[in-house]
Amino acid sequence: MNLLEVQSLSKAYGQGETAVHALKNVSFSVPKGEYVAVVGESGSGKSTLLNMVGALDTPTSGKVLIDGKDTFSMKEKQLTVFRRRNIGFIFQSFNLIPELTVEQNIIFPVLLDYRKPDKRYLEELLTVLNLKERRRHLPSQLSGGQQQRVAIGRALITRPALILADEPTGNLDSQNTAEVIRLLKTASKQYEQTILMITHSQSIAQTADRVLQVSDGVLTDLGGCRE
Amino acid sequence: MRSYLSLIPISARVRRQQNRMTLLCIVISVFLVTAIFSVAETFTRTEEQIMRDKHGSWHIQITDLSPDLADGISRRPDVTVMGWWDRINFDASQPYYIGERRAALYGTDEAYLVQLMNGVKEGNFPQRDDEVVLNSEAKIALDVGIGDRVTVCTPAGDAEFTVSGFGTDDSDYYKGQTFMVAVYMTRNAFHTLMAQNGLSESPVCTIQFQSAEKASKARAELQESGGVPKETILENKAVMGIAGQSDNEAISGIYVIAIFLFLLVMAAGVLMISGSLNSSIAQRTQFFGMMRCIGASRRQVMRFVRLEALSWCKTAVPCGLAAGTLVSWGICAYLRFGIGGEEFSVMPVISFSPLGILGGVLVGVVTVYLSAQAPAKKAARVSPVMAVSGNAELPESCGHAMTLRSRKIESALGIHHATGSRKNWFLMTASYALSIILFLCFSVGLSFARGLLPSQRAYQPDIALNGYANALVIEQDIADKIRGISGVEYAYGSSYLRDIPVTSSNPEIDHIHLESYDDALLELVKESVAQGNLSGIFGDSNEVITILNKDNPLKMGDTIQIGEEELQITCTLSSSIFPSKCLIICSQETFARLTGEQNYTMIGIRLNPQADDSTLKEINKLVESDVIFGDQRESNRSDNSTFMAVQAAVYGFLAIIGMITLFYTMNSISISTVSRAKQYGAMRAVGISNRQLSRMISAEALTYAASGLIAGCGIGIPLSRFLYLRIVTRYFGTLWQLPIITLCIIIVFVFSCSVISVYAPTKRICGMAIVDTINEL
Repeated sequence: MNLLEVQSLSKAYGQGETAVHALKNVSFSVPKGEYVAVVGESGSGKSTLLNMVGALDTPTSGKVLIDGKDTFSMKEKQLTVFRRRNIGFIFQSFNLIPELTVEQNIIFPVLLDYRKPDKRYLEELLTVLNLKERRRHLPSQLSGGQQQRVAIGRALITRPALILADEPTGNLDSQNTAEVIRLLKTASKQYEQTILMITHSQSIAQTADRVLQVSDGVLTDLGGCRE
Repeated sequence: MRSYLSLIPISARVRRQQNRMTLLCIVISVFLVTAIFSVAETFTRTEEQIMRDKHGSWHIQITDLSPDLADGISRRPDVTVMGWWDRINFDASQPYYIGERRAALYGTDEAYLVQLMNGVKEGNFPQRDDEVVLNSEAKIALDVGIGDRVTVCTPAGDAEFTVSGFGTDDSDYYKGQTFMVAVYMTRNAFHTLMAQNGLSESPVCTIQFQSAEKASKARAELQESGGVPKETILENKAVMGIAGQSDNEAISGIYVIAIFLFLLVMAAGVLMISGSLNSSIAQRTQFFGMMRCIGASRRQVMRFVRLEALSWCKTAVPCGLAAGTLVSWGICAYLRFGIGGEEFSVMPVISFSPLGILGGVLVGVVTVYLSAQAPAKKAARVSPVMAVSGNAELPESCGHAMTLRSRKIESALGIHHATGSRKNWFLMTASYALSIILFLCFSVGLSFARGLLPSQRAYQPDIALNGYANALVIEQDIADKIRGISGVEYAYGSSYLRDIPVTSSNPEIDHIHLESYDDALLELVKESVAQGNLSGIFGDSNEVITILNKDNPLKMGDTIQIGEEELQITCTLSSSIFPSKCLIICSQETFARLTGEQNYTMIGIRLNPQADDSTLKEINKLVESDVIFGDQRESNRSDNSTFMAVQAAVYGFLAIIGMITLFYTMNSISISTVSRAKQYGAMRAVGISNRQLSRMISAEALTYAASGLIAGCGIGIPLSRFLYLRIVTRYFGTLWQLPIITLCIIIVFVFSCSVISVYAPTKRICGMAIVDTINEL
């Protein structure tokens, strides 16, 4: 069963002759639990695609179905709640909340839902992410790799079906990069989560189940490469 | 483009919408100063003219001046006019008469009465020694006209004069006065009369200098080198004071207040514009980072920001000047036609004020320049890295973690944003607190002004009939007759006896002054009750009232024994008709029992709108020659006008302070949201709803409001109580009460400020696509 279905997605900035087509009629689907890497050159439309899939931006045309639900047919309020519960985001620049501790940053999406976080799951995440010792620390007291692990924890805390990662290792050194990728793969397997990750690195892309290439707004499925 | 500074107009065109707030702040500052100064200058000019009309255009008067010194002064080049006057029987205590009316006799020269006092309103100054000028009211009192003969009766014999004109040098004193007349004769004629009556003269020299400033210098010279004793020199406080040359403490105090208000408006302007500029800088951190990246020095960035701010003056200053001038015309028109009265009815409406315009331009440019300093430094501090990585204001280095308890996460974060930066929290709290403290303290000032003005009292009469020297000469049935006259709303009677020997529980008291209030007056003073109640006072009783103020040693509960009668003070009032020291007030019946006197000393009459000349004539018919008929309508109107103007000025000023607080709050919240734009973007991506975001920003604004309210009320309420006790309770006896209505207004204002300040930033952030907020800056 496909968790994510993207149908004829297009995005154009501007109008008429000056219009820039960032995405051109992109269609693909990702089954549940698959770990997909999106590669492409700068300005090719990778981030635009990720923003559309995460419903952070609206397309010019086309549909995105997550778990069978058309995200762009939802109202703002409904979409916010849907995003909060079903999509986890990991950004290149971490985007943690500076005044919250590691633990508070991780449970933040749960708190937005006015629910109590699952303590056992939180402990598990802190252990998996190797952040137990740092749970009371502020983001400014962490290294880049640790901050990205906190961001991963925040993306996983609601047990979302889909995790979108926009160059999550872009700001990390090789050791931390390997660690983050390992964690993402573990999560994908352990919690059966679908991951769509943008990367520039061919070596990282090779760790994915499948690779999609975006070039000049056109998507090409390069197929599986893990084996 | 000739230089990098040519970017300023280009940037201004592109950022027209974003710059609107800053422009508005400059316009408001210039507008405020122009409006305040224009109205103040117009008012001062009008007041100067009124003062000259009322008190004359002289600067100083000297008594006991030797002829040599007088000659020396008259030859001074800075003296423009010098006149002389002398008088007797000003208080009508001596037997000088014209017909049945008592006469105050004046000996003056033309320079004094005509040039310095502008006193002759009809006819001419006496050209011969047998001519006199009479006060205008004498026309009715004596039924005479110009050319008629009048006989001045003196103890040494009569003297015949021809009336050459009408007028007076003291219109306030003689207004509505028919009990006595003023007779102005030549100094020769006066000298003859004085010699006949065996009286010595003490002429007063009245001098006008070329300017108040020169008068002030001359006064000092006369004291130091001329040997003129300080106590013999009297200054025209009105004319000297309004020119800022008075050494009178009360007048200097007004100038100190004016300078204080000017500085306050200027400081508030700096705060407001600076806040707005900071907001503008915070929104363009990346731009300044980019400038630094491509080689601009810190100095160049600072110059750019300063010149950009000053370039806004090109549009904002003229707009502020125009708005300020127009509003000042509106205020002058309202004062003239809406409030009127003696003070404002001659006020020019359309006039340009050089002081207002100059003040506006100066404040506009200087305030903007000063306001641009801190933001310019802030812009210059932006690291080139910001051009690539984002916002300088992001509180990445937040020093302490937030504590999460049972609160909702968005509210907790909002509160944390407000309290995270101690400096900003303090400034915001101080901004609110200042407004609240000023509001509470100015309210006390208004209560004091209300107490000072008799016209604000419920029993203040339009017409007062007073027995001469407070004699008990008005029969009670006159009050009943007056009540029956058409146009009279109410009339009350009061009797007064001075220096009654008593024994008292208070050992300091061995005599009192006794005053009676009839039932009508007792009803009217109910709202002036400071302690106790009036119920036991009515009718024949042993309960009496005293006045609660610092000069009166009598207190609630004291007992007084007059003859065999023992009286107890069971009530205190905040004010009285007669002087309040050692004053006991009782009912009319008690007064009659204690003193055996039935007559009134005075009758107070309040007229209704239907009253006309015939009403006054009918009242006048009932008055004997030993009763002074005082028409206080004009002075009541004038007092009311003054109070309304003071009230308008105070509330106007408070509105300005309130507006500045509002703008400061709006700017601060705007800066805060702009600096957290990226953070908000990330939060929205991970699922915060627009409502939650709005709640977060609201929590931040409400935290400022609440802390401002607590600090403002915490300081303001005790301070206002202290001031109230010191100036209102002490002088008028009114007890302090928690100003609930004022506090309600303050609470509504403070929370309205928060709601208004949250609206635009929330709308902006929520209206942006999430992608844009993440990528913002």
